[in-house]
Amino acid sequence: MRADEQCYPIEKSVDVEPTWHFSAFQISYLLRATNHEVMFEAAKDYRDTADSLDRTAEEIRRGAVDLAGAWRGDAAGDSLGHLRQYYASARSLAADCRASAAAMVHAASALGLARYRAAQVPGGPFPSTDPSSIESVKYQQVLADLNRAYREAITLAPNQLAVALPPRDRVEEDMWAEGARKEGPSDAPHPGGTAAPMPNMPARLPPVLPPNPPKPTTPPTIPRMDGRSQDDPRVRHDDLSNGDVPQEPLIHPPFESDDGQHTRLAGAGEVLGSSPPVPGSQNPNPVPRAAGAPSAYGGGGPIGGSADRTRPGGGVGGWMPGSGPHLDQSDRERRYYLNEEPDVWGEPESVPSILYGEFTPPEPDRDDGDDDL
Amino acid sequence: MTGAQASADGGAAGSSVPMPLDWPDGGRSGGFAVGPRVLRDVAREMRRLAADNQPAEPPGKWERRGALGAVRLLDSEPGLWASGRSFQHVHAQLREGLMAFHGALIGGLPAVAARLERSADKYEHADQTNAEAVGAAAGPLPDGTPAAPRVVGPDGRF
Repeated sequence: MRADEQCYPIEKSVDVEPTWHFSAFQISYLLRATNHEVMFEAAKDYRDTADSLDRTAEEIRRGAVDLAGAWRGDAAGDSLGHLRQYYASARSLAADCRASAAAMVHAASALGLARYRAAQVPGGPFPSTDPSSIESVKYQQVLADLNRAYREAITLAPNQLAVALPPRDRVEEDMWAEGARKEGPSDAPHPGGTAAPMPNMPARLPPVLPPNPPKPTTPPTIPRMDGRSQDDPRVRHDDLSNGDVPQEPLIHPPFESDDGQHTRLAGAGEVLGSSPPVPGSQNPNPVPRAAGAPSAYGGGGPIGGSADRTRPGGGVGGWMPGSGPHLDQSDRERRYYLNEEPDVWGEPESVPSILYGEFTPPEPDRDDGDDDL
Repeated sequence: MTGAQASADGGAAGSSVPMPLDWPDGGRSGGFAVGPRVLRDVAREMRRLAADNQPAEPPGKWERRGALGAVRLLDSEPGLWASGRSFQHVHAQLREGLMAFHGALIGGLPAVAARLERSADKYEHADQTNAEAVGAAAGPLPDGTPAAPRVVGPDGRF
């Protein structure tokens, strides 16, 4: 580096940022706060500035050519040397602007792609707040890819800005000083060609991360098809999406019938796994019984078997809806008698039911003629 | 603007700012081939360049494409997490350094123009002084004797 060069070092950080602790909700929130279109506009600003600097450099070169053809001597040589430095500085800044524009376009393209990918992740408008959920892992992959592109963009950006300007005579007040005072507290770059930090180097802004929302104490209210509200104790909340183990037992109190009795199914004990009756609907197979009497379907008791196994049918299976007609106690006793004493009543001359309609009884008078041979 | 000043050694190889090798050189000896008018023309062109690159002022700051300070500042657009902030920080530094050096470059052009105009004034003044000196040398002496060399002999012959 020459002694007349001035450098503005660019502080870079390409540390890998972990993304595993971000939830899908946080990443979605962060990506919604970004704007890749503005970054594309900033890249265009860089390119326009580069074009302006290139035009300035060409004008300086044209003036130097005119001057060299009309003026000779030591003073002419010094003036041409100054113009040469301005030309080289303008070209150097233009090249840095184009490199900055390329880095900005790379970052903006990656951001646009990340926003698109995040929009394609299934999950709806309320992403998961659990960083270990599958949805969050997908969001974390999107953010990790975006961070990798950011690191590449930072690498593409210039490491420093440098110019080599001649000493200026304070012939007149320059416009940059006026503009800088209007712009803000911007001071001059560090003179002397050293890479000392600038007094007006912008400070690095701290990251701002949205916190995960607190986990709701009550499950979200979702309208149910059966018209019940979520506060109904008969409604089970088995949603394990938040990683919480449901605290309420899986065994719920039995349903209340219209007469205040617990509705039990025959032999099956409780109503675990069955659908609750719709309020207001009528029993399609009403069986009148007295209060305190066992169920006409065989009674039953708690899970694990009937409490009263002495009763016929107690705790032995049960009637399942759609399994066909069920028999009352008198039918069961009569069938037992018919099946166990066939010698008393003789064999019924009835065709097997399975061949009913297809069976043709043998004809005793028919002789096939094979026995005569 | 107090910085952006450096030596004027003309540049050497191996620097961060490469100097053009095909730069025109009028030579170290000689003088005007056309006259000081060329210096004034070049000085006027440098002032025009400086005027065209005036710092952009709001509102409509971003509408002046390529003007000094027309690169917009990014805040939360790259992202609010650490990597987004890192890229935003790099952009902020590039923008700040670019504004400083671009401003120094544009602000130095009027100074170059002023030097060219001063040189043109010196040459014009020198020409006038020399002309007066030549005229004075060609004029009559205080005692009335013409200073011009006598080209006619005492005897009246050439």
